[in-house]
Amino acid sequence: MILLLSLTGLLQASLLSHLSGGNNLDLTLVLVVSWSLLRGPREAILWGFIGGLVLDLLSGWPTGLSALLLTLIATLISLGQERFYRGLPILPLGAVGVASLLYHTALLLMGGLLGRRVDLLSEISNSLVPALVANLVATPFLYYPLRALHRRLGPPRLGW
Amino acid sequence: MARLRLSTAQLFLLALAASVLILALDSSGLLHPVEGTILRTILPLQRALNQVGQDLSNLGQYLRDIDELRQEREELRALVDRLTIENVELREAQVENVELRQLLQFVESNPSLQLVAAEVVGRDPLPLSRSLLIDRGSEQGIASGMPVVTARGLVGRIVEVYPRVSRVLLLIDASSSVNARIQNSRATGVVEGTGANTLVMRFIQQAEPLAEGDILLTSGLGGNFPRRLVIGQVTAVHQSDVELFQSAEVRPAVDFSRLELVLVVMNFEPREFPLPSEEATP
Repeated sequence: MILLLSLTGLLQASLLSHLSGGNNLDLTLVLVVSWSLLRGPREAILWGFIGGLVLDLLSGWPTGLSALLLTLIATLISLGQERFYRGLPILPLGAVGVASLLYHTALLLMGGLLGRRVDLLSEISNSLVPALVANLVATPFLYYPLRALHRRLGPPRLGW
Repeated sequence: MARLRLSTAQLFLLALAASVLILALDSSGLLHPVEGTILRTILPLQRALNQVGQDLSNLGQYLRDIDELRQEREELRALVDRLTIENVELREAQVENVELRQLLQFVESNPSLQLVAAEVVGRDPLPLSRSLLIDRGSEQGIASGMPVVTARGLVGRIVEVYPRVSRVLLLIDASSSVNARIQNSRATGVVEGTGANTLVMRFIQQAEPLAEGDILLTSGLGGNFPRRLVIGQVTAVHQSDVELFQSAEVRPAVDFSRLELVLVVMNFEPREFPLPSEEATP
């Protein structure tokens, strides 16, 4: 898990940043949300925390911020789907859409709180919307292979 | 070893607490060495992935460039084709322009001649006959026997007339003959076609001076052609004491193989001299 999330974070920070459309893709977020939908809240917490931590290490944001945000978002998504939306075919897309909005909005807010200059309209049009589109497009390509993996692995057994 | 079992809520709180702790440690700068170590460790992998990304990006750009270049190449090919055609047309127009200018000059320098320009539309396809077709005929007032010239000199005469086309018997045809005069000596003779691209002048008196380079003009004798049209230039002289006349090889002034535009002399009526037997007939 740590290796996979590290590799995802690295891909997001290096290879994808060169590709048209890829530079907007939150690969770690899509991976964490997809896995959270499939494996329940306990794994969501772990994947959110570790995935976020990897992103923190590779980004210029304060370390721990993405870990905190992704932990919260992944847990929320996982609990929400367990209680209300299980089995909906568009669940992965909806979940990734909501997670993307939450993640980027939270980053904008945190940026404002940390005293960064935030041009809201520009951030929405240049960052949030393209990221939302890229994440939604990428979701089926990540979710369904992960679902196949999930079925092979069987129910989650966490030793924590 | 006993496994630590945490409830989901405990795990959640632990993760949150860890995140906040990390945030706090980071803001105090305590995490800096750890972050540095981790980043240094993953640097080679990140560099490699970055390079792959760069290569993929370059590849994408390369593929886009190929598409653009292909399109550009097609456009340039079309442009070259268009320009080539345009260039050919312009060259043709230039050649025609030069030719027309020469003809105009000829017309201006021969005000007594009424001339009609005609385009060469066909050449004799068979051997032994040297004639060509022009795009003027009886509808344009062309008549049999009319002389045909260019700015360079005499071409031949009209031998067949159709409503819109006429046939010109070239000077070099073996059946063609014209009375000529040597420009310098004023000596006369008859220039005949050889069937090849040369002429021969016969019946020049032995006493007449004749030399290579002499210019031959139509003499007007016999009434078949107007006077003073250039025929050609002497290239060789054949003189023999046992012959009654001397003769000369003549290079025609006109390049018959390159004729495109000619002038028909409209106001010259060739005179037909009846044979003695015809004169006797009532």
